[in-house]
Amino acid sequence: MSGMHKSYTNRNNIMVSLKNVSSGYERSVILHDITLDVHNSEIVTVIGGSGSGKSTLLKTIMRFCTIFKGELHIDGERVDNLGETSMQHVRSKMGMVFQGAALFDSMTVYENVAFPLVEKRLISKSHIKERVMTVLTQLEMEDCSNSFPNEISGGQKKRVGLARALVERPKIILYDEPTSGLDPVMTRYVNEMIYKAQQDFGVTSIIVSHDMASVFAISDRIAAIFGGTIRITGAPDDIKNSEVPEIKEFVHADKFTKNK
Amino acid sequence: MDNEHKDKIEETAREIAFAPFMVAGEIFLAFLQIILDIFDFIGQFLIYLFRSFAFILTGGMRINTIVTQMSFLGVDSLPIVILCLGFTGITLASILTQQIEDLSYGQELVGGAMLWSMTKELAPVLASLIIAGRAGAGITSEIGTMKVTDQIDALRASAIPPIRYLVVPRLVACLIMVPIICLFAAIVGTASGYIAVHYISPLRISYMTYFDSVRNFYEMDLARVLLKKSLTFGAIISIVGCIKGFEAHGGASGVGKAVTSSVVTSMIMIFLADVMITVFKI
Repeated sequence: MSGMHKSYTNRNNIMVSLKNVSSGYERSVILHDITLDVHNSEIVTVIGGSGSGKSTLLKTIMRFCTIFKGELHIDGERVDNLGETSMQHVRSKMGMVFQGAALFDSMTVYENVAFPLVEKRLISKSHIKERVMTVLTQLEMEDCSNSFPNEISGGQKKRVGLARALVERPKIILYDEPTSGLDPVMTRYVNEMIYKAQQDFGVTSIIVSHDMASVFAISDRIAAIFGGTIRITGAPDDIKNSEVPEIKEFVHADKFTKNK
Repeated sequence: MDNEHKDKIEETAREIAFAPFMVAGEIFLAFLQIILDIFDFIGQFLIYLFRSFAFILTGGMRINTIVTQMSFLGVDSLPIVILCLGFTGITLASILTQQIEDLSYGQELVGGAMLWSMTKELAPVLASLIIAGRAGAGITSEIGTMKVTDQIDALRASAIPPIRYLVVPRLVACLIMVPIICLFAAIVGTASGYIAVHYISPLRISYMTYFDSVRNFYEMDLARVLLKKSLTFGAIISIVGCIKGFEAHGGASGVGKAVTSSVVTSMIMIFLADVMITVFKI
């Protein structure tokens, strides 16, 4: 995956912009004063400890949780003050891969992936089938298309969740730990899929991940979040060489050697 | 005694003196919170109801999912409703005939009394309570499980309104099936009363006497009341079930709590709506 970083056209356009956003659930504030701009076709990865608010950041961008303060802009449109009905239109530009895949139990793999297209009735059944099978084949899931979610492994579920997000070809995809629970080969495939989505379709990606090897391989920029605030944002090398103690500890945490 | 001790004693004395007011204040606040929660829930109920009707009117219905829900909510509930209302009919008719036996008159009134009590009250209320316990709980557990496993968020992420996809089919299914089940329940309840008055009671009221009474007492108002109540109760069962499912959080135990809350809330609302319709003629 090394050497992936390229320059893109229209990268100056900001696709996702958070300005001093504080958000959370009902009365509890999880994120404090978050400011982050994600440019068109950029891959930004969010790292941070468990419970630091990484997943809440993705849910804030999707407007699944309450924004108490600040502004959220998606594709140039201010959305933090929009109602649920208007948000549906904004969400049609986005896709999300959930941590636990969030597949619909009562549907087969094929039906899960086809679901957004079938429900919106924007393209014909034959086109839906073609698109779904293409994505499933890319993720090596075509053989499981008739299986139900309880008949496939955790890693396979992850891939189906990824396929469901990719099938609509959204402008922005949010990934909540897309490679957790996957073997190294599949991790590479998923990283390649994210990269390919960026290269082929100019998809903007915001990824939450703990998998530091993938983070450094795939990211254009990395944002480190601790205690609900972004501590540092920078290129992978900046993060690698950061002297901020928490970042340093987090980035080099896997360098464990057994004392003999 | 130094000043520090004096201050502490004075502070404790003040706390004791104000304790009854503090307790009263806390009780008042708790009561106020309950009132606010009730209004909050009624508001939510109306929002879900109006949004669902908006989707129905703008063609947001999926016929196949409605049929699936009609089967689950209605057809599968029918046997238990018939069984329960059959037993209730026998019990009620037995009580009535015991009274008639003591009074030594009024055999020709038993059929009519059974028809009225079954159609106006027992069939819609009992059938709806059974459906709330069975299908309402099912709605909450299904939507609650979807909620705690992020499937509701996945729907929203795909720009599919959860109300259109999850609430509308269940509401429509309940609005169609609950009146049908209540009608069956009223028929079975009234007819099973005959078993008690003819085979169990020493009065041995004849078929003709019983069903002539039923015929004589029948009027269109009975059907109107049955329809009004069953439609209202159907809306309550589906909407409450969905709201409680959407509110579920905290894994399996959270879903369990939501199901309990759904059944209890549905039952209270059914009884409340029953009073409103029967007593206040709303």
